[in-house]
Amino acid sequence: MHLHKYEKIWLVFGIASLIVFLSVVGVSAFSHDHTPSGGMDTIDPEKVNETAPFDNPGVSQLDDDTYQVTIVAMAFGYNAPEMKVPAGKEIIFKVTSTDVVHSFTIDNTKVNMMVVPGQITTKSYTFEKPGKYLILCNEYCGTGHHMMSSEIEVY
Amino acid sequence: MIAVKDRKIALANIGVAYAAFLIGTLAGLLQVFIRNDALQLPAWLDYYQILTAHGVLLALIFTTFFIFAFFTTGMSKSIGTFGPKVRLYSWVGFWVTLFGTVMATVMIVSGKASVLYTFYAPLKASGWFYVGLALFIIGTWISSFALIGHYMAWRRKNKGHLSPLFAFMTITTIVMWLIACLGVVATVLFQYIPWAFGWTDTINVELSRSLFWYFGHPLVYFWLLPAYMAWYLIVPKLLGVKVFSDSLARLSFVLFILFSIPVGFHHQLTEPGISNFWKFLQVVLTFMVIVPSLMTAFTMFANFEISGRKKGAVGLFGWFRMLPWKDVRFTSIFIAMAFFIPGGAGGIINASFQLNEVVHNTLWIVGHFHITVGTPVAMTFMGLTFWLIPYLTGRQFTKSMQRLGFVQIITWTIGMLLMSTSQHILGLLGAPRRTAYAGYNNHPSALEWFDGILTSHVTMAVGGSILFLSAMILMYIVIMTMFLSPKAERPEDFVEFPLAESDKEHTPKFLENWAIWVGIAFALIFIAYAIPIGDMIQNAPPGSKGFITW
Amino acid sequence: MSKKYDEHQGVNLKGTLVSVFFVGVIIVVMWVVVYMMYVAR
Repeated sequence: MHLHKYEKIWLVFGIASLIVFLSVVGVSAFSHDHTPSGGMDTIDPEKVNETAPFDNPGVSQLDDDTYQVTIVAMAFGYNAPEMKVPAGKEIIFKVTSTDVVHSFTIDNTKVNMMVVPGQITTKSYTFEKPGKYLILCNEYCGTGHHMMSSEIEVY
Repeated sequence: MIAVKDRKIALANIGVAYAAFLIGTLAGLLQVFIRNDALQLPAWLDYYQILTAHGVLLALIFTTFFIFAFFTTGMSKSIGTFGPKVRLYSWVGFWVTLFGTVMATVMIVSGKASVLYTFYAPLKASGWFYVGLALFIIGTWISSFALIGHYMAWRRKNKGHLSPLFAFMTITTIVMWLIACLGVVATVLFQYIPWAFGWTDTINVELSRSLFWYFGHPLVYFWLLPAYMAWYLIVPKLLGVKVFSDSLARLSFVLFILFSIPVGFHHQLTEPGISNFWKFLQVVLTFMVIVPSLMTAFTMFANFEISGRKKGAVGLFGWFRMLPWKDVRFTSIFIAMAFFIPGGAGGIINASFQLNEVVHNTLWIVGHFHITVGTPVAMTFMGLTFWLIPYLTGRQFTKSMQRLGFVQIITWTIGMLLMSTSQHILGLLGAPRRTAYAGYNNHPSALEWFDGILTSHVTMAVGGSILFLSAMILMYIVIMTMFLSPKAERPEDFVEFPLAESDKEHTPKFLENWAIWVGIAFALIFIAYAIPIGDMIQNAPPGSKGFITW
Repeated sequence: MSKKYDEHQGVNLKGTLVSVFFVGVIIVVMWVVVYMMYVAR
């Protein structure tokens, strides 16, 4: 198996680029906490409304700099009254579903979370700019999928 | 020309492929018009039904039947006429696959399975939809084993020899397919079917998703590798050169067996139930599978340059003008390759761990697979169709067909450029995929997405309409070359199977030692999946009952 | 397989080298653009 000299140059360049990409995302993810949404917590999908923190969805302040927003997703909407959070503070989103798979996606942010029944998805995000952000479901969930949306106000 | 009986198998497969293509592209056309609110569907038909049909018929049915037609023809040509058993099992495989297809399609059309082609639980389709899917997979297995049997018979007769490159690549693709299907077979047989028929009450959703994507990513390589076969084996012949390097071609295919499977988590990067460690490990493995594609890119350009220089090209890029642009069999595949450059680059972005949050489930993804499977793969198949059907029917590929072929590929190119560019940009802006008309109550952010010239609904609709026009021209070419074009009588009228020569004297024998590659493949799958899947089973939350939300 | 064997000795592949680097540049540019968008969000 003989590689042409130029093919070697190309592969070295290509593989080096891939290593750089991986290092950039890896370092940013694991040392600066920029991992994608996820989490290993589970929940009984039929008892969501009786299980903390989803028995009391909405915004709660955890400490001076941290807020938690708990959301229950269902076909075709989100149960979380009065989503108002401050800019510049860490917001921890916790979402689960009572029925099928959904997403909890906030337009123009890094918040793009899959919501899987039986699992709790977590994502931490800090809004920089105040305003009203569109929330939508981007995982097909049925006839009303394209109607499934909401809004969060950042003040 | 290959034996008549083998030709019949190939033609039957092509026939089904293009029947699916016809309905699938029609469903595509309807979608763009529903999305921009220009079309109201009758009450008995809804957007998601059409979307399911579009995905299943084009991505699954068209590709698979076409691939088996190509394999059947190429295997018969490169390692000899099928024996009676191989032929029998090829037919059994064909009918079982077709039966499964019809069953699943009937369920979709009758509105009992608007679950899209990913059929994520706990959306619960009719049990017969899943039975149809299972039969489809089992049918492809029967056809696959028929081809493997044919290959093994050749190996027994030619001990100590490497098989012809076409046969080697066919078997590589099939081996990958068989290993990949284990995931979808496991979830459909042991999770979906018992649950859909009510024998079990609930389903482990996260497990079903992971088993699906264990299958889902190599599935895209099952589409891509036959296209790569055309790039490695057909294109050099059209250029008048030999295969650039037999050993590198085999090596790149072997790497696809190893690295196309243990990577499914990169479709699940933003979901719970899989820890970051395992997600990132599979991201790294995903990046490994880019390497054989980098090798392929080099080989393709080298073929072009060697061919051009043989014809007397000078300078750095003189060879480019010397390419056989007037040959629609070549130009189609060249455009297919060109589309794969941004297509592949987009794929690297999708798999880049947290970057996935920018694009996941947005229209970017839709744009992405239209410039991977929808053009590089599909247009390669079109380029093959131009000679494969007349080769099999013994008809001519007339001058007017050749001209029409050009119109077809150029319209496809324009339509796809408009539609996919618009989808990529819309996706980056945040517009979601898989939605019917989406205005979100005229939310300002949603209105903004569609404000640009390139991102307007009009651009997408124009693109979609041009694509449909192109698809209909192709259907005309298919029907003509299948049934109506004049029969070839003079030797020069016969269409050839353009298969390039490949020097394998210097190819190391271990490249065809399947035990090594299958062994490593399973080891990698075990490393990437054993612990996270075990965890999903052991620490499973109470399961989900089914929902019919459409 | 002899180590000295080179099936493409003497073939001029300069155009190929430049072409693949063109592909490489597309890959890097697209990736960097989306990375910047990620960081900006």
